[in-house]
Amino acid sequence: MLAVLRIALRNLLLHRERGLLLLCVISGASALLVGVMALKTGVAATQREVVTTFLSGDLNIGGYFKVHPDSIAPVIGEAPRVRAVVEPLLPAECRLRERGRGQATAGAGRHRVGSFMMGLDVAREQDSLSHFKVKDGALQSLEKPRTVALSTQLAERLRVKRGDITTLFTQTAGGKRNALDVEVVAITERAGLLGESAGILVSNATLRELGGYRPEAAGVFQLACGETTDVDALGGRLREALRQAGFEVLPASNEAYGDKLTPLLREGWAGQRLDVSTWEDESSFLAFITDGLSALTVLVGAIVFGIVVVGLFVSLSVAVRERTREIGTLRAMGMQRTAVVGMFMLEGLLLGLLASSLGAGVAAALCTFLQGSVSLPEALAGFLFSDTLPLAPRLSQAVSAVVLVTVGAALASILPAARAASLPPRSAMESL
Amino acid sequence: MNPRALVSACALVLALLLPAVAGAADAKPPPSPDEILRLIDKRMSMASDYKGVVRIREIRKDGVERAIEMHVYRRDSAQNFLMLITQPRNLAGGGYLRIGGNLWEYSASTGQWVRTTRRANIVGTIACEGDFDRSRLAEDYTAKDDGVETIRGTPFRKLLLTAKESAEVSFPLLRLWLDADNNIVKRVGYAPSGRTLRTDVVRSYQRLKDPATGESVYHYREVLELEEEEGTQIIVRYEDVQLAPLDTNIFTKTWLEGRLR
Repeated sequence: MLAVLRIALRNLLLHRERGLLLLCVISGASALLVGVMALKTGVAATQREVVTTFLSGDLNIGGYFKVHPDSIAPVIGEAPRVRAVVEPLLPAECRLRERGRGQATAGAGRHRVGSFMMGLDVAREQDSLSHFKVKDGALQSLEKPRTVALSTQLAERLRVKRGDITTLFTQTAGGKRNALDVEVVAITERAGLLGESAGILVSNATLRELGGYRPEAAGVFQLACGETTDVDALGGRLREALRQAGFEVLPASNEAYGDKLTPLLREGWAGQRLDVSTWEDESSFLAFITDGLSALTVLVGAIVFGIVVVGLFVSLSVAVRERTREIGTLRAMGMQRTAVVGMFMLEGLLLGLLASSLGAGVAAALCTFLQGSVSLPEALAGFLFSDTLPLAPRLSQAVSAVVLVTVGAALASILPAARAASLPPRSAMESL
Repeated sequence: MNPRALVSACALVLALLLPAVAGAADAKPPPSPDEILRLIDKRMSMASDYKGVVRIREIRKDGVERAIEMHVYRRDSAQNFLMLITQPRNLAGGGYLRIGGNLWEYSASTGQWVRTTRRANIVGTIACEGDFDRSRLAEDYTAKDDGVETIRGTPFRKLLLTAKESAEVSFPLLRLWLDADNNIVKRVGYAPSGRTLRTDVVRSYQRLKDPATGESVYHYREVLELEEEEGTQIIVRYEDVQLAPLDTNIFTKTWLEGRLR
């Protein structure tokens, strides 16, 4: 076996030009695959971070209140009762925060922009506030009544700066329209599509004043648990506990709360319904981005696999034809067919392993080096949730790329190797 | 010098100096900025109810023009305000109603009332409700002198106004240009960040007699309002102004809703 490996290595070194060309092609393809996988992981991580900062907790206990069947507000009327049911069931790693939800139109001068609005408990959420990337001002200033923090996109569209006044228009729980003048105290950094769709941050008190809610009403209880908690199982337990406490709880559905408003408005009931949702439910309208990147990764993987198989197959087929005499000599000297197959397969495997390892390693290093340093155009930044290219290379991705390419190389080598092994020594010697 | 000549000389000096001394005694210091605001408010306030037609011609940067006509009803004593849009046709029947501190916008096409604020623009123009309401500069702003600017040989006193903490105003900062008679000839509104929001040029005033007090009242006749950022300008004309008692029912939602029918 060692002799076969030595022969395969020598053959690779003997045909340097062809080997080098194949090495470049295979390592380039592997690097591309690792790059796409790093981008997919980076976008998914950034999306989760942005969603759990702006829009949702890892798990959310929200509610819908209908004063009458023709109006709906995303609010829990009896928040203390809900809190009393939920808090004893929380795992130690979960922290509960109260936030407000709503939709509003921000207006300044003749400019108007509609967006989702998030209410923050500024006094109790000091640690969460640090997750927001603030471009100008400070989110702590939201504690002052009638203040707002706008996303960069909204501030640009409204043409307002910190210190300016903007007017928020919204629908109250009873279906009436209300307005409130608020001072812009902070402008948050770009947060991709969420900066457009959830770009208004106010304190819970300001949200209550604008929405006309009672002091004991809350928009949503958000649980920040971290990635290790099984939020689906916890959600199921909370749903059951709330039902047992006498609340009407909506069945689980993979939709954001904003998407549920219109279908629920069409229903004829009035009163309170609760809803338990995960961060993935709340960002379901953004799933097309990660789904698209997953599809792109599969496509790139398939192309890389195809390149490796076709490239190595052609190369080894040519090598078999060129080395007929050598094969004949080896067979005449007593080399078995299996050894011939092993020799050619080892050539392919060595080339695939070496090239893919090199490509994956270089790509992973490059991705690490370029993290947060490649600026993106605005249109692309919106989809990728970041101003810079979000790359997050993982060792597992590099390993899987190497395995895929190596398997492709092994498969591509089988047929040429079998052909070489099938050559009878006499016919090989005849070609001398 | 003999005594007679001395007396004559003293009498001559006194005769020459007396008018100057008398003039100096008559000359008053110019009014302080806050006094000027009170003066402007007083000069423009009406004890009687107010009814007038406002015609707005809006010219946008792209050349698109729009004409709007509104009937304005005011009862300054109760701080009530109503505006009924009569032109263009698609907006006719709608309007704005303020009772006390609350301002509502009514859309005739949907029949909906929307609570709005004094800062919000009206009828999709660069104008605000405050443009058509009574003058309340002294209530809303504190003023300080901002120098004198001479334009074409005429000096204009400038005042820089800063909105008071609790005031609900369209422009947190306002700069006024006043003529010799302390009439506003130009005003520029700024955002707190210093951005210029709007520039108004008062082209002419009209003088009215308030039947309730018998005193003369100043009221705008034509104002040019400019928004430099978008290049939009509107010419606001205040016409058919009548100062006479209005029906109490006017300042109600029902009255405005009933206009369409």
